Amino acid sequence: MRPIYKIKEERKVSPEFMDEIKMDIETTIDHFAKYLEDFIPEGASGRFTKTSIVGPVGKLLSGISSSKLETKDALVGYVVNIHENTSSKWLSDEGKKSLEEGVVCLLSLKEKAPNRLFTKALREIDYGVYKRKLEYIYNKKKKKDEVKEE
Amino acid sequence: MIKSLYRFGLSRGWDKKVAKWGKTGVSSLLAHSLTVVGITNKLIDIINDFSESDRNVAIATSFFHDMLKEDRSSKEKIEKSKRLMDKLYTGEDYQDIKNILGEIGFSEDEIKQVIGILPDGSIQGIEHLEGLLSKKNTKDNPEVRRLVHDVADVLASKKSIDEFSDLGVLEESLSHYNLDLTFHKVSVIRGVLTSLLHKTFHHIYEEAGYTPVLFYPEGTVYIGLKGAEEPDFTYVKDRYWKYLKDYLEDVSEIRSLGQESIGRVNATPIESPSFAYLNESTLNDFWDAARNQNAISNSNIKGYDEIIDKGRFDSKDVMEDWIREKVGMYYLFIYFKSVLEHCTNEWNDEDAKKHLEQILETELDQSEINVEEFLEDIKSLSHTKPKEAKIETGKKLKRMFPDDLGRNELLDQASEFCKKVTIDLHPYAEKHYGLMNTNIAEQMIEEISYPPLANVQGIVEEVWEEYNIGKIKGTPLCVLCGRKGTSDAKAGLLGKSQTFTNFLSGGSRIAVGNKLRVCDLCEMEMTVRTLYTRRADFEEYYIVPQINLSPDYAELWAEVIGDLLRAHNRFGIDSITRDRTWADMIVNNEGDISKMGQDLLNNYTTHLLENLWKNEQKEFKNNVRNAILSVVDSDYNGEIEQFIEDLELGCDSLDELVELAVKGDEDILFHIEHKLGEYNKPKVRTLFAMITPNYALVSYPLRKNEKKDHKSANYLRHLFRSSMLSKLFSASVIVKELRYEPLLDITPRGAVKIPTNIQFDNAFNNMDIDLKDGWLQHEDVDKIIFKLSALFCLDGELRRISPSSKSQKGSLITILNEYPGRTLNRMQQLSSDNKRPNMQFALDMLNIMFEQGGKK
Repeated sequence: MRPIYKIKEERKVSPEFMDEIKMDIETTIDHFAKYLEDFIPEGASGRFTKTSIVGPVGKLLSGISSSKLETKDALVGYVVNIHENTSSKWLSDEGKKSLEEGVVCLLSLKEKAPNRLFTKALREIDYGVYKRKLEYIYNKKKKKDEVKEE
Repeated sequence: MIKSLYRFGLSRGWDKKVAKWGKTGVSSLLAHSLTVVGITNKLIDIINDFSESDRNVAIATSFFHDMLKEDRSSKEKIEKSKRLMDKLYTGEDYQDIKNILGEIGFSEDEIKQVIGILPDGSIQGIEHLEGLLSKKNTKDNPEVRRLVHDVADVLASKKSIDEFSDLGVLEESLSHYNLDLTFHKVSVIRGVLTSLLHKTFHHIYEEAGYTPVLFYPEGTVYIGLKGAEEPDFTYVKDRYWKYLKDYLEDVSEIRSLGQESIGRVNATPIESPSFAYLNESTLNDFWDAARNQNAISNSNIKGYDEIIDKGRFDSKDVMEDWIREKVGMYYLFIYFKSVLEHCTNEWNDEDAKKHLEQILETELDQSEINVEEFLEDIKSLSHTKPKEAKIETGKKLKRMFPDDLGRNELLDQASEFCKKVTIDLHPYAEKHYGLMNTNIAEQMIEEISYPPLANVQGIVEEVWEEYNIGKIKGTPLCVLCGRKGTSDAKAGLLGKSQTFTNFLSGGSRIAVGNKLRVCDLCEMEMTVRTLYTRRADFEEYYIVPQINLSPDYAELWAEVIGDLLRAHNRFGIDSITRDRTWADMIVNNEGDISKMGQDLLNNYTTHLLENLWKNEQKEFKNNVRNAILSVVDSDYNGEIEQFIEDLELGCDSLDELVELAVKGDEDILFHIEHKLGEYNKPKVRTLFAMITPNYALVSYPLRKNEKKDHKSANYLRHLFRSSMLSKLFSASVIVKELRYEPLLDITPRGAVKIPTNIQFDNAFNNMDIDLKDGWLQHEDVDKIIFKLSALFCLDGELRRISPSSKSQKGSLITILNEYPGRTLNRMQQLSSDNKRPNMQFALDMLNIMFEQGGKK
């Protein structure tokens, strides 16, 4: 008779742990969204493609998911380099700090979460950052329009 | 006064607070207060010993008696707070009560009495102390206090009609006013048929001197003065027939029952004899429909080539016309034969036969055909006869009419002849094959569980025996209600034909000899409903009271139904299914539905008309124009200037009138509404049945795109529509999963009961609202309406930028399931240069949907 195969999660995921992961995801999104306030793609045509909106963060997320880079400094350096080559705005100290904090959160998330959950979290961060940046752009536009009207 | 109080309750969010709760039912503070008001008002009428001033005080006291429960928003909160009263009236509360009563026109003395009677609670803060001090200068009215607190409130607090079998302390309170209480209860709620049964009992009890004071979906509570007559149930069956007949006659004003009852000439010529013989008008309609059947007006003469070739006319066209005439005559008289068979009970009713002969003698007086020969010819008619025989008989029948008639005139005259002969005979047909011949009324009366009129043991034995005999053919019992199954359900009524169903033994496909069976009552209910909606596949919602309903409260229901019907019949607007219009309005008002309160429906109509105007819907404008011209033609001899002058609206031209009417000007609409209905036909026909206040039934066919959509996406639509209905009626709404299935779970435990599946649950949970046992709670109604409005608007935006996208099926569920950022990204990807998405709008909608987190 064929032996019975058992599939077992290596790490148990409790509801409290899930809440913790959710909090980490939120914090990471906050940091990256804050960092992206400094990112304005060069020669932006006005069309909001996802790549142009999340810019270096998208690269960072694929970098970390493929384990291309695994340390904080390497990841921050990777993003800063992309930023300098593709953004028309310089990276401010505040922006750099947010980026570093975001990377730290992301690395701790990778440490904590099982692989399957981490992949899901990356996807959520990706779209979360995209939404937040869009919101930022439209709020800015709204404010500009209001000033113009005045 | 009740309307003003209703608005006051809405403005303070009473529809979201809970007054009565428990496993046996939940009622909002607004619904409970209105119910107590209605009972008090009726009791004062019955007792007839209170002054008008007392009545005012009693009504106001009834409305405010549970105001202390205002800060309860959910069952949990109530359970946490062990005290009965959570707070005491504050000085501000008293001031609000004084203000509203002052506005209604209460005297100062009456206001003092109302405040004096309201119960006190426990002091929890300085504001309560102020409230207590402000009560100092008040008056008591012990009789009103007793009536409201000891009778009306106790009656309204009974969560089921069964609780009235043991009155307990209520008996003493009722005796004080020399009152007697009784009730009727049914065991099954079937929709239209049960409503008519309730109506029958209401009238019987009213005739005996009782007044209906409290309505439950399953029965009614009556109160009368002691010593009232015993209700006479002798004619209950006849009464029921009368009301069923009246209902069908009402339906026949919208749908031609005669036309509905016609069948195919080569199958069953009269498919529904129970409706064809209802009255003269239905029979007239039947003959008009028969005359217009293709088989008669333009017979198919395929296969008559040989006869055409042998024909006596040279022209083929003339010959074809000649044959069509004879075949048309033949088939018309096949219908005639079927009607005569029904009238004479297959030629067995001697009286009817005699009557028929008398009529024929008069009608055939001028003709060369004699009655006996004619009847023999008619009896021999059959659609299987050879073609030559059909033509021969057609020729013979033609001889009854003048020679010089063309084909159409001849058929017209022949159809008139059939009408004339059968119209006087229709009572015989009604007797043998009509509604009266079925035992619907007897079976309906068997469903009365109190007062005991039926032989319950007999019914149980019959069902038991039938079950023991087993599944000889299909299901032994009715798959819908469990009574004895008497006939096979028509294909399409309970799903598609040959479909798989779990109702059959072990789950199998419907096939020959393996059919779903239904009882006479379920079959009748299906027929009665499909007569109106015309289509067999529809959705149905039951609007039931939040525990119970009083007569005054029922009037508010009737008003809403009236408004919905007005929009439906006059403007062709099917308010129920216009999700996007509702959603737009709610999003524009930032979801503040409570602010709109009772004017929700009015706001909606105005919004809709503005929308139609804005989008320049030519069709609607043309309809308005045609309606105005039609009124001018009929009432003003075509003089438009005179009409404009009479309206005194300062318009100069017809165009200006049309513009005003489309914008919803009531003065013009009042004049043209009756004509407008002829031009604006609703795309889907919705049945709003509220025959008695026990419950209302809404049935409507799903739109084509909805039918193709996922079940879970449609559940979202149903949730939205039923939440709107719950809001409009301040009632509980039950969405049925199986159509026609009688309503058995009638305990309202929230605002809306919706069937769910796993896919729906997963998507719905993302909006951070919980359903308790499938019930949406009162406090969540506004929230869900707002969130779903945002969802519909966002879905609309997606459809706008990409109308041909394949992703439309299940798109409502997809939006809820995917990350908001993913939806935004999808919008970007779907957009094109000429259709750019409104991203700001999309962001706002997503924020509304997921505002309180809860997203994954």
